[in-house]
Amino acid sequence: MSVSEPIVGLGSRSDYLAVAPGADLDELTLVGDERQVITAIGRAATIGEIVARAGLPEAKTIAVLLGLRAKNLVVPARAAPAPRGAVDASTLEEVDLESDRKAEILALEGLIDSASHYDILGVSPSAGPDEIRRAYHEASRRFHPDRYFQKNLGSFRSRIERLFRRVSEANAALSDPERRAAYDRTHPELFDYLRATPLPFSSAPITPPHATPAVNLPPERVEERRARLARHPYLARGRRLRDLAGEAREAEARHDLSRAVSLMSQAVQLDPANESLRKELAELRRRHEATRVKLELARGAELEGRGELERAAVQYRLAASADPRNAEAASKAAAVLLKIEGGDLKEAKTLAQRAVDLLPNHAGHRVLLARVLIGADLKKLAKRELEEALRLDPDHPDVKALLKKVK
Amino acid sequence: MIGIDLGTTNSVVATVQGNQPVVIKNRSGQALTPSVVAVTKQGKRLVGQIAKRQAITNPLDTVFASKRLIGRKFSSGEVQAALKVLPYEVVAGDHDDVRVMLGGQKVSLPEVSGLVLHELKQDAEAYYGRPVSRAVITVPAYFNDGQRQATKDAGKIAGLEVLRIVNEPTAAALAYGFGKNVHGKIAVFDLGGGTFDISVLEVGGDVFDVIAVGGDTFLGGEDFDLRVIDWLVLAFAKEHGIDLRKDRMALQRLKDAAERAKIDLSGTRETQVNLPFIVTPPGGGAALHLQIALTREKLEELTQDLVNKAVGITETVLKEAKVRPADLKEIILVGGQTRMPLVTERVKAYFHRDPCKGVHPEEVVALGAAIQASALTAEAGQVLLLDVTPQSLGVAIAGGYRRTLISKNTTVPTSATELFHTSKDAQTTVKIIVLQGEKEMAHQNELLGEFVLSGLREAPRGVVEIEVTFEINSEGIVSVSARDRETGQRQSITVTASGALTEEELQKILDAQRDYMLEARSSEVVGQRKVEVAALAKELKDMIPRLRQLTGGSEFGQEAIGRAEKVVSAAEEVLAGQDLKQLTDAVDQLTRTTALFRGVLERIGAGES
Repeated sequence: MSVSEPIVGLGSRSDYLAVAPGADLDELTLVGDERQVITAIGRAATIGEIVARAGLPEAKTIAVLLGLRAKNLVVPARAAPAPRGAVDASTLEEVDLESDRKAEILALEGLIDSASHYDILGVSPSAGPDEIRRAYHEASRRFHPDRYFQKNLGSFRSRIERLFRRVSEANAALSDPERRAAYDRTHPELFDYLRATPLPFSSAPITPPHATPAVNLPPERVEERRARLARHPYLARGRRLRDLAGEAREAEARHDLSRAVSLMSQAVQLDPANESLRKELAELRRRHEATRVKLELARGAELEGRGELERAAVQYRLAASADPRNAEAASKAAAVLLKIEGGDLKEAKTLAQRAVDLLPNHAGHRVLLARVLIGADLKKLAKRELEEALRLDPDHPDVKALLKKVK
Repeated sequence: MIGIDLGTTNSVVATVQGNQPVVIKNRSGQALTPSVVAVTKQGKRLVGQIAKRQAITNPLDTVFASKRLIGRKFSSGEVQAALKVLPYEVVAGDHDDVRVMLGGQKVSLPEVSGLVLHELKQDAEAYYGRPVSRAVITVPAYFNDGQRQATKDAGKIAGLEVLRIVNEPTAAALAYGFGKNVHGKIAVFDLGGGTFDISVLEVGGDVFDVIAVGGDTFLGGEDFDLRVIDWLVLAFAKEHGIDLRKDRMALQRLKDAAERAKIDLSGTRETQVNLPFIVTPPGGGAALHLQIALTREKLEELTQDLVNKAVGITETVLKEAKVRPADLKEIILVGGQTRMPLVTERVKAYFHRDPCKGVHPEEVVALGAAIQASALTAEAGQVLLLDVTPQSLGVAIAGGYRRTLISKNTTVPTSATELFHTSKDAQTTVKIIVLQGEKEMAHQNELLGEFVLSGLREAPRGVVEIEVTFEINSEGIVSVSARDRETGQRQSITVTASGALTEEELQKILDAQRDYMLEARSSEVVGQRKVEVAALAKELKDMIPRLRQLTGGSEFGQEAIGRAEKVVSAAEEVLAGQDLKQLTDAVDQLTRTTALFRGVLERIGAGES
């Protein structure tokens, strides 16, 4: 295959491909090398670049791309517009870093000398030891040079090293109670906000270390400085990330899983590269779906008991679509649709078929499918299901009567 | 990628497969490979179990426990002490480095360790069936810069690309916490064959953050053995008036018996030491036997102070880290010597809890090394190690004192910058003495090296300011750079008085090694490659008729068949020769072509049916 030849179904090698906007990769079950190829695409890349980056044989990469294209997970894209106006030359440096990460590193680097130990870790001066340790680990995940081992970082290598050194210095100073007390004493302005804005409900009163008034900044300056740092996109980000994750965990503890999922997915959007948060989110989602399905099934049963079949059908169908692998939900939905006068038999058939596919040895599901088929006047198919059901459960009460019906 | 625990007594190699770390057994089916190297009378090199087995009959040319000597200076107290008890000969190198006599040649210690590493590399290659070059190697956390450098050199000599030197207790913690989502503080108590380390870590899921380490690089199983040897020698001398130490072969047999007795006593309360015909009396007469019972109580009495020492270091480290035993979530025991009941008991008593039983004390370090190797090279690293420098880095200052630049337990990588002034008018050189250790007086610390800054501009004293930056990288290895603060000019630095191999020495060894490796290669790998080429060529050849039949006379078919034939005939040509590179290329070429045609055949075949 020559380099200039276009690839059928994809385009020429200089054409761009991108991951479809709105495709939530966490939701999808990617098979085999798909994830690897998607990683190679990043946001958008030319086909040539993807092939070179994927680390798979070329033919394999192309095959995977074709598959992804067919599923509409990958779409043609146009070249990313070149950044306009005055940009720091270093943001244009060709290195193995995403532009977001580059911007973050450059922004934080500018703060290395001016930010306090607390600011650089993104914690408040009242943070407890555990919170500081967590913030330090979080920062390490982003800035430890090992995370960029054997990558081409150009000038960013030394920037990252400097940043990590600053972060670990902050942690060393704040994790030792004596050193932290000494630091707090020499930086009283960090605590002036306590006076400027009293905490609305301070359960544990924070006593600022005895301040030396001589170096005190005027309260409005302190307030202004804090507000500025709080707005700083990257310093604030770390704090916001931890707040969101923390609130999500609290919500989870209260069994409010839907809120937990929503908070955690916000956290993941803030830091998409955070593997551990993503895992947490996936787990929360899984549990959330499971409880939701249970709830909807119960509600459906209640409605069905009261004879509100239409509404019961809605609940069952919701449950079945939330968990497509749940045979019970599918069969209940199908059964209720069948009961409803003029119910959607086509959908009932799909659902009943799904229940059978999920549990092929369940005679009851086959009988249900047969009933639906009879309703749709597909007697031949119904007969086959009934015969199978008879084989599985010779004593099933309805099978024989139904079989007579289809003969 | 592999992870290697290069131990004093035994070494282990591991890798990560399908996201799980596994130990690679050596070619004799064992997980542990003795870190023993020997040269036979016929000049053959032996490594591992086979070398250990012949130690008794070949005590002079069998080197064991070389890790206790690596990266040390010949004049150091540890080396001088070791001289007295080692059956093989240890001599001084050209710059106060240590060499051992092996097969009548002076051999550096990185070379000895390199042989062990090379053996493990070959085991890994046999396991994978292809060359392996990238490795993470572990060292005791308390190893200093020189010992780390020397270990890295050993890796190079073995033909390995050493991705990283990792601390043993940290690797153990990694293997313990990998995939378990552990949160909290843990301690690793690592009493190995030659060294003792204690590490305290804060584990936050995927982040392994070392808070403090301490240790003694001359405290381990070998010392326990020595106590037993001393006791045996004394008992024999009392009875027969003969000092068995004078006889190298007797000494080697004693060592063997002492180690075995010690291991026995971990399981039983009493064991017999039986060494018939151990020595012939100097005046002639019948050979004498050594036969004596050793009880666990006696062993514990003989080695109690060693255990006390380890527990004492543990106490200090915890105190310095401001961690109470009760704060710890888990205690992990690492190293064969922790199998001794007395050690377990004392650890249990100190920490008030049972140590973790879920890890294999001898394999866990290699597993951790393998995990780190895979984490470093993976696209999205699954774990992150935040390790620390075990000892303070400082410089000698006026009056023979030491000033700390980077204190111990600082997270690496790190750096510190220090300003030096000239102290005389028109001074053009400055000597900086870099030290590692905690002692107040400069000379009591380990000398890392003397750095000479030369070519300074001439000026009145105190005017020239030299900014010297000391860096410790993620492996705990130190580097130094300097620049004139005013002119910004970089200053050249010469390192002297270092126990490590010099650049030329290393290069010379590598050159010699390459010849040796090539020889070994040509027989093994070439043979292997030829088999591959032949198999692939046959497969491709067999495809041609089917391809012809399916594609008929189409232009595409003609071209493809022509190409296949060309590839096959090229492969057959290469098969006649011995060139490894050509063979490897042929494998690539064949693999690609075969895969392509297989795809084509499947597609066309499917279309037809």
